[in-house]
Amino acid sequence: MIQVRQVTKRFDAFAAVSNLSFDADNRAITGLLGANGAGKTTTLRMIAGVLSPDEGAIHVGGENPQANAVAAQERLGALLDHTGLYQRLTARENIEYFAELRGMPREMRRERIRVMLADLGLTAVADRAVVGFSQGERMKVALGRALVHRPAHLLLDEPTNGLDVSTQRMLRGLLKALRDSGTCIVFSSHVLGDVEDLCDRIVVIAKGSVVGEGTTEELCRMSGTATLEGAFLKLTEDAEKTSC
Amino acid sequence: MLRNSWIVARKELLDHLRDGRALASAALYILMGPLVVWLVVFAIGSGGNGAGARILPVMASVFALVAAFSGSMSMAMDMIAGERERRSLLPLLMNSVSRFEIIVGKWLAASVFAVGGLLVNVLAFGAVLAFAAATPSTAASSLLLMAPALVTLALAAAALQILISTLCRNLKEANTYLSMMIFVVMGVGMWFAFRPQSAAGWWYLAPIAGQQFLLQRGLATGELPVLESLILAATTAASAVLALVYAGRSMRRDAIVYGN
Repeated sequence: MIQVRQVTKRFDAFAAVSNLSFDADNRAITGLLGANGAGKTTTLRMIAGVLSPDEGAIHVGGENPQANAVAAQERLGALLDHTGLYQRLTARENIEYFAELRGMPREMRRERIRVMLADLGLTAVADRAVVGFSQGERMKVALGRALVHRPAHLLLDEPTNGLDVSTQRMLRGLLKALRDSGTCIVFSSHVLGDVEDLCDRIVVIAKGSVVGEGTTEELCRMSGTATLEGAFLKLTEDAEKTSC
Repeated sequence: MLRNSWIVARKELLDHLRDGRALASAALYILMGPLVVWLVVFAIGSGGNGAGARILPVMASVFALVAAFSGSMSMAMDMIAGERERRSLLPLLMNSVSRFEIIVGKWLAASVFAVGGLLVNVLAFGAVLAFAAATPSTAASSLLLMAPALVTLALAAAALQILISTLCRNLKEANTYLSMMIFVVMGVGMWFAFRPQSAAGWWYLAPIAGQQFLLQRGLATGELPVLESLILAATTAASAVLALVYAGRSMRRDAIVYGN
């Protein structure tokens, strides 16, 4: 489980995230829905332990990433705003590097990587340098790297950006399977279709704060609208008016 | 701790040994000195006690200093500033590995290139100077005595480059500062090459100046003060540790991670 409690993050005078709280349960996909610049990526970076909040607390499986980043990161896999692959390494080497850093024994990691490459449809290109890979292939390698150690918590920042239809479909299937196996997934997006299709719970963020939280139906009821799009627009516009 | 650093170092070595342009650039810097000295040997002659014989060890010592810094320059700037620019640093920091372990791993890999470059440079100089008969027969054994001070200089050079690469916002900025550093090293080396008396009494406490003094003296006379050269190795190693500790601490800052 991931708990975010009254978290604030400022960059100089600008508050990218302000007094933000939500819970993400195990065996569920929690979607962070917000416009560009709403604070989704900053929130995910704080959960991942690579950015420190100025106020508030975060717990990942009971560990505070700010107090003990290494312990929290042991249970976490993340694919944030960029794949960040090593261009001169092969797909297999990219995944193996992270598996080794995660402390997986050699035999276990080789077998796990072989299975993952097959599941992700990368076996044929596994020993090619990633420099010539398509966006979809890069995303699959990065996903393999984030999942290689079977994390209990998974963070994904707009993972469907730039992917073709078949890769998006594969990704959706994979995330649902991970959710069903007990993984706690936090998924940020501004693509309403992805959020509606995948997320069990949606946290709507505007100007760094939570402006609505619940299932699609609950958000529609809360905003008095019939669709998630209508609910999102109503909630974020209300937040804009309040801040003005 | 060393386990994770070793994993990082191995990956960096594998990655950068596939970077042909960076290796070619490092090789040009490293072999530039021996090539220039070889050309001088042919142009002015060197045998006996003439001006040529006296100037060759001076030139060799300055170029050897530069080689200690140039062998790892391209790799060190790519390992942190380059990774930050390509956004591969952030995923690395999300692994359950401390930032200091990552810095140490990258330094270990950069050190392999720095020490390797220095070794190739010294061997090439050895061949050229032996061919020119410009050094005493004891110069080879004095090189062994100089080894601790020279190797620690290469280690300190790699540490300093990793620190600068950490503090710079992008690859271009790191390239600017690390290129300038090569010329600073060359300038310091030349100053003490032509004014060795200005370092008398304290040279063994000052990295770069000390190695210049040591190299020049060893190559020219084959005689070395053992205690002072060991003290120099210790002060140089201490400067490497300081640079690494500062780089490790800097990696905790958001601005360093994101390059803002």
